[in-house]
Amino acid sequence: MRGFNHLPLILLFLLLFALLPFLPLGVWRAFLLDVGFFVLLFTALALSWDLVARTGQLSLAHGAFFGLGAYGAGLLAPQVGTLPALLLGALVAGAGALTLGSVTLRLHGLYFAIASLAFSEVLRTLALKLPFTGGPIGLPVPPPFAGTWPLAAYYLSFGVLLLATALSLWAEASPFRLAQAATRQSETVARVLGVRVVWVKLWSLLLGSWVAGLAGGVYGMKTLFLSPYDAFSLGRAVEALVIPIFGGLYTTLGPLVGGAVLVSLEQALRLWIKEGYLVVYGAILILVILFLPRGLVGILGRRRG
Amino acid sequence: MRKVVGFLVLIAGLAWAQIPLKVGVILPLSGASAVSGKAALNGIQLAADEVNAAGKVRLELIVVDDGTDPAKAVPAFTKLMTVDKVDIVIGGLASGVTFALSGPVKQYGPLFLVIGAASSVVEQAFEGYPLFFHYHPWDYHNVAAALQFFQYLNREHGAKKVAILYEDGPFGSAGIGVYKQQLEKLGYQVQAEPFKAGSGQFTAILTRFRAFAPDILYWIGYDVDALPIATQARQVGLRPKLIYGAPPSWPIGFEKNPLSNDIAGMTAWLPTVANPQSRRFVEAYRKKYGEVTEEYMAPMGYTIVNSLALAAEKAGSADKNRIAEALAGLKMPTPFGLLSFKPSDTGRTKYQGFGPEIWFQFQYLQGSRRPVFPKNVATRPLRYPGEYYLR
Repeated sequence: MRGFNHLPLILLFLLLFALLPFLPLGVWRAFLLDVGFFVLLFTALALSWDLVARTGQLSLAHGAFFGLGAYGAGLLAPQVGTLPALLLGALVAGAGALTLGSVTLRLHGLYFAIASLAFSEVLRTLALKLPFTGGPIGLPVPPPFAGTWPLAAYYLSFGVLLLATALSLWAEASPFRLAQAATRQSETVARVLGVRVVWVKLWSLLLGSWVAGLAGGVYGMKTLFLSPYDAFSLGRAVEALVIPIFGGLYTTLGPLVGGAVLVSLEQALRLWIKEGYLVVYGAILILVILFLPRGLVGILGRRRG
Repeated sequence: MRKVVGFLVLIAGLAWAQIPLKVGVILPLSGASAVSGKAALNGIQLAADEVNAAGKVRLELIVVDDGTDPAKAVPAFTKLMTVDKVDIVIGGLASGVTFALSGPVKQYGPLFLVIGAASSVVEQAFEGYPLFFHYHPWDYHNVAAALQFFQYLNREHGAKKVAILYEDGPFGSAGIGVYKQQLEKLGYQVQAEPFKAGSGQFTAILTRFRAFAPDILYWIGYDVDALPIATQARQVGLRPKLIYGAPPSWPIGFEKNPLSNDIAGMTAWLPTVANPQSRRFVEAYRKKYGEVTEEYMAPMGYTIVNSLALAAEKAGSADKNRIAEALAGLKMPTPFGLLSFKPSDTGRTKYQGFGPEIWFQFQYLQGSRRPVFPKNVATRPLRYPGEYYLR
């Protein structure tokens, strides 16, 4: 079945991260679990961006969905508990996606990108001004399950990635992939072929926003604090798109490999090079983008879809 | 041969008498707060060299970069605690990042010596944590120090109107409501408007301020805003009697620009501060780095390491609890004045180092920053009105 070509590798990846807390990592265990947490979280965010990118839409709103989920979950967690808060946060992000999509999805390429960026700015401004968000001072967030389970944040992050992977695999293996690919390659032709282009784009955006919202919710519970500039940062949106480009666009394995390599690489470089590590990090990014236009996954064979 | 053996025994004895301290340092060496972070690290390393040369305490610094980002800071801190196995951590510069570290700090329980993190949200986060030593004043101390200056301007110079231009991020917007209220209580008319952080576009707001005709133009933002505000105020014909800024750091070389003349601001330290510890720090810094810094985070880092070494010496031990006990009772002269710890004003944290007394006002006069208020630290009289009004 299409999309499942790399299934053994994907399952191996997930298995490795599922078992990470139980591996004999010695003194590095806690550090690697922290790094693992952010690998899982940003990889999930990247997969959610890739889901939208498969329709040809360059979304810069993933920072906004991430922030909506983070604030939604952060505000609701003290009242309703961890899991309901995360789910409601994802729904808030979904509502944001519907709002954005209904207004802007008829725009193409860069126009949509600019509109999605403006959407992020509007939400950041709202988070700064609204009375219940904590404004510019920020919002304290309780840890998951009131801190009773040390591995809670890690496995919540793993759960978000699992969901993102499942959605991505489904999108790759189902006819939905064809609709996405047709929309990406030529909307006009896709319409002639009977593809409901706006519907495909809206669903992709909605699925992506749910995952991004969940990722944001878990992020807030790990960092215990949210501020508008952090939660709605353009940096998150850029991270979400760099990882799939680095790993391989329009695939499930690409963002998984890209996330694991990029996030770990950045952490490792910061340990080895105290100052100016970003120069090396940037150079590696540029080299990969220049010489591996299909990303790291391109090495494994011809790109599909 | 006997002499050689004797010498070796002496060296071994000296090493044995030293108190070895492994100290984690977590600072923003990249990201938005990197300038302050690097300045702090320079001060920390300078003090560590001096302490090691003195021979009573042997400091081993393990430095990690928090990236001014919680996602980078949390793993970096965890590494310090579990891989490097440090018991003492110096860090906590940016408030948001420090808040994110509150969970891991409580989990691992180090002696945490905090260099920055002025937001009182951080004070709430560390409430009840017994090994939290906060050196930097809290945000309400900053407000108190600035208000004292405004009270003086109102009383001595008859200033009545303040136009506040504040950036819409946490730095500029936190406490703006309190500022307004307090200024009005002092008898000021206040008009406040936010601007988008880093936008560099102020003409619309400054034009509106012109109709208000303020005595004081007060901007709360970052170093990148200083020059555009000075330029655009002139362009729109705004003539306040005092331009007063409160960025965390000022643009490098700003003093060389004629537009900086008579602009005032607040800081905790300048190289021209005349106390002996400050002079000693400036000389040592120049000797090690070949330049003079104006970033107050450098002497703050220097102060933290010196106080830690002195506390370890007094405790006669590398045990974090005994060091904390000694630190709590410490009274030490520093470039900022006397350091001693007492409970914070709200009572949330037990060990607060400096308060509003370390802040003072300066003015750019003839190409350098000169303390002008309060009177006990002033080296020059305040020029009021400034040349931007007189032109």
